[in-house]
Amino acid sequence: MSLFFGKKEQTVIELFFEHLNSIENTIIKMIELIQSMENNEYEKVKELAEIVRKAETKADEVRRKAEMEMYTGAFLPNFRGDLLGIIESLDKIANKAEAVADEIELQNLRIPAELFENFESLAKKSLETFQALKDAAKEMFEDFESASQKITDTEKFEYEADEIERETIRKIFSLDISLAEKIQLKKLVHRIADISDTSEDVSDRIQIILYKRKV
Amino acid sequence: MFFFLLPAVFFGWSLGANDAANIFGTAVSNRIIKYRTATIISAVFIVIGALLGGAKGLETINSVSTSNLILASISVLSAAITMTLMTYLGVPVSSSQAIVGSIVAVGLLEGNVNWGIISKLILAWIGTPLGGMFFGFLSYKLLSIPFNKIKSIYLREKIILISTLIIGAYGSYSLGANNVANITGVFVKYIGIQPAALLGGISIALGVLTYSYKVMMTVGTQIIELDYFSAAIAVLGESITVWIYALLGIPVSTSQAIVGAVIGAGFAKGSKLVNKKVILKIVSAWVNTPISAGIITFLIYLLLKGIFKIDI
Repeated sequence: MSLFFGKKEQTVIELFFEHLNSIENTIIKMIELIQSMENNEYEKVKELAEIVRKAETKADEVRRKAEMEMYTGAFLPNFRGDLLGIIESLDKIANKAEAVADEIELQNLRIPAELFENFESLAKKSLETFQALKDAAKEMFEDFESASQKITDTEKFEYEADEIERETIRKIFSLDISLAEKIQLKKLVHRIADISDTSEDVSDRIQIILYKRKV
Repeated sequence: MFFFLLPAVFFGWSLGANDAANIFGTAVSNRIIKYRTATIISAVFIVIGALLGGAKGLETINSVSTSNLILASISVLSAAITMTLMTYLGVPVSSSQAIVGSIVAVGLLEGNVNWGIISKLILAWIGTPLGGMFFGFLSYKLLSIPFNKIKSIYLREKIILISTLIIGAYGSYSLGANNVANITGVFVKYIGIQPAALLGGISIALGVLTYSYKVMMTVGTQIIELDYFSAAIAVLGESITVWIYALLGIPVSTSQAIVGAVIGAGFAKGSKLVNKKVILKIVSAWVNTPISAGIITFLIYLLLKGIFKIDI
C-alpha cells in the first residue's frame, strides 16, 4: 500500500485500521462477557464489563486521533468528509457493544440456560457482521469491487443475525419466567442485534461512497 | 498612445477577474487546489497562450476594427464598462460579445461594418455552448473508461489533482489565446500583433491575480454540484472548444463553453442538466451584451463629441 499512498494518507489509513481493530476488540470482549454469564461468574462479568468500557474508550481515542490527522490535509476534501462520516458511524458500533456490557452488568442480568446458546450465537453473528464490514472498509481504499463484495457479505450476515434475533425473542416469550425478565431479555437481544444492524448501516455508507465515485 | 491603451488594461483586468473562474472555479471552491496556486498557473498560461496562440484572433478583430485610435479606445472602454456593469448587476456577460457590440457600433458610426466577419463571429457564439457540450460529452465518454479501471481511491484522487492542474493550465492557455483578441485586437493597427498579445495577456493575468477570488467562489458554489471527475472533464471540454476557436481566430465566451461542457459531461453521465433557464441565460447574454456595449459606445461617442467637443 505504501507504494501508492502519501505519508499523510498512510497515517490516516493506519489510524483508521487501528480504529477498526479497537472496535472489533470491544465486541470480542463483549462476547467474552456474555460467555462468562453461562456459569454465573458475577465477578468476572463485572471485570469484563470494565474491560469492554476501556476498549470502547480506546476506540474513541483512536477515532479522535484519526480525525485530527485527516484535517492536516490527507485526501481530497470530499473523501475526507466521507471518511469522517464513516469513522463517526463506526464509532457507534463500539458504543453499542459497551451498551450491551452496561445493560448486563448494571442490571445484573442473567441468561436462562436454555437461551444461552441463542445469545452467544447472536453475539458471534454480530461480530461476524462487523468483521465483514471491517474488510469492506479496508478494501474501500484499494479495490472498489472487492469492497462491494464485502458489503454484500455484511448484508448477508446482518440478515442471519436478524433471524437469530427473532428466534431468540420467540423463545424468550415461550419460557416460564416473569414478564419483567422477558422484557429485560428482549431488550438485551435488541441491543446485541444493534451491533449487526449498525454495521450494515455503515456498510451502506461505504456503498454510497463507492457509487459516488463511479464515473 | 498609453492613454488610449488604458481601457484595454481595464477590460483585460475585468475579463481575467471574471473568466478565471470558468477554469479553476470548481477546483478552488472545492479546495482541490489552493487559490494562489490556481491564479499563478492561470496567469502564466494566459500570457503564454496570448503570445503563442493569440495572433489569429487578434488579426480577426483587427480586420473588423476601425482605423481611428480614439474610436478603437472607445469601443474597448464601452466593452469594459458593459462587462463591469453587467457583472455588477449579476447578468451573464461575455467579453467576446461585448467587443463585437462595440465594434459594430463604431462601424455604424463610421458607416462601414464588415458584416461578413461579424456574422461569422456571431455564428461562433452559437457554436460555443454546442462545442462545449460535444467535447464535454466526448471527453467524459472516453476518459471514464480508463478512470473506471482504477480501483484505488487514493490513486484516483492523485490523478484528479494532477489532471485538474494540467487541464487548468491548458484551459488558461486557451483562454489567453482566444480572448486576448477582445482586449487588444482593436489596437493591432497601432502597436502590432506581438505587443498587443503581450499587453492583452498581462492585463488578463493581472485580473486573475488580483480580483478573481469572489467569482471563483460564486461559480464553484452556485453551479450544480459536480463530482471532481466531471468537473475536470467539463473544464477540459470547455478548454478544447475555446482552443479550437483560438486556432480559427474567433474569440468566444469561456462562460458559455463551460455551461455547454457541464451539460455535455452531465449527459454522458446520464443526467439531464439542460433546461429552459440555462438556454434563456445564454441567449439573453447573446442579445444583451452586444446591444448594451453598442449603446454605451454610442453614448460615449456622443458625450465626447457633443459635450467635450472632441473631434473624432
